[in-house]
Amino acid sequence: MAAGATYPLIGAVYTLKDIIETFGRVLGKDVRYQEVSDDEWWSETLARGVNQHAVEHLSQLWRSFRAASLRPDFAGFEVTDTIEKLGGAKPKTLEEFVREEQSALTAEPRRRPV
Amino acid sequence: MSDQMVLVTGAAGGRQGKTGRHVTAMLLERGIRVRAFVHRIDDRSEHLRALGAEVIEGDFLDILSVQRAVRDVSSIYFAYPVQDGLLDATAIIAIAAHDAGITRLINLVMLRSAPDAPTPRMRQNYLSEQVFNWAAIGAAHARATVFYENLRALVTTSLAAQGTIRLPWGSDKTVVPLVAARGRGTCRCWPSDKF
Repeated sequence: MAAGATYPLIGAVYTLKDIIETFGRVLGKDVRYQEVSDDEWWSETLARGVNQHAVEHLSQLWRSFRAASLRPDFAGFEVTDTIEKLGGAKPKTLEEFVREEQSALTAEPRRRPV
Repeated sequence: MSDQMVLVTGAAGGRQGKTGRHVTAMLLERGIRVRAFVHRIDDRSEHLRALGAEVIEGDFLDILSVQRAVRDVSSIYFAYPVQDGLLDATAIIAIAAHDAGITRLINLVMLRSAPDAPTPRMRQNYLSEQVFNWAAIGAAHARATVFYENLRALVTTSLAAQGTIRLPWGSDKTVVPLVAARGRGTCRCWPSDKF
């Protein structure tokens, strides 16, 4: 690793469809996607206790993912070999991650103060 | 170098990628000494102590505590939570690390880190990279995309309650790059010989 060098870290690139299908398949349940507006997502996420700086960052990031995918010249995101080169193994897939987290993801939701 | 010590910031792990916690565990497993920088002493910091880390309490935004933390360390893992204050913390760490003769800093930033990046945090990341480069502390920048762990945190509640994933992600075809924080992902990239 050279001083001043940058290392892009992308493990895998998925479409929204891939993501929904992966959760459904691994968790063995009918998982549906529910589109919400930026404003709804913003207020729901703030209400869950995520700080304003993070909500603003993520909200603008989601806009940029949507916009990038709509551009006719969109070349996609490149999965880099950084993880394999530096870490010595192929990056974890979403499917593996959801499998590892299966029990936490299917647990009864904790009650949160309204 | 068996006598080297790495200062790991964000070592307790918050609500986001918890990379500091994973990096701490990985370095200790490899026999590297770790000084774990934590905001407060609690169960999480006790866990780090039990793993073998030296725990030091401090605040990124308090230069005196950062100066104490960098004393006698050779390298730093810097991951600032996605919250206000990154540029203050950057300046403080850069000055303290420069003065202490640090020779390696791993800076965890976002995938897009550029003056024209789409979010304010990403633009701040770019500035922090430049400041660390000027400080001549051997900074290398890990530009990670959204973690699977972040996605999990965003979908868990609605998934468990209604079997839905509620997001403003647009059409089926929207493309999202992801990476693991723990395991074969971001944290795995910084083994002991890279520090």
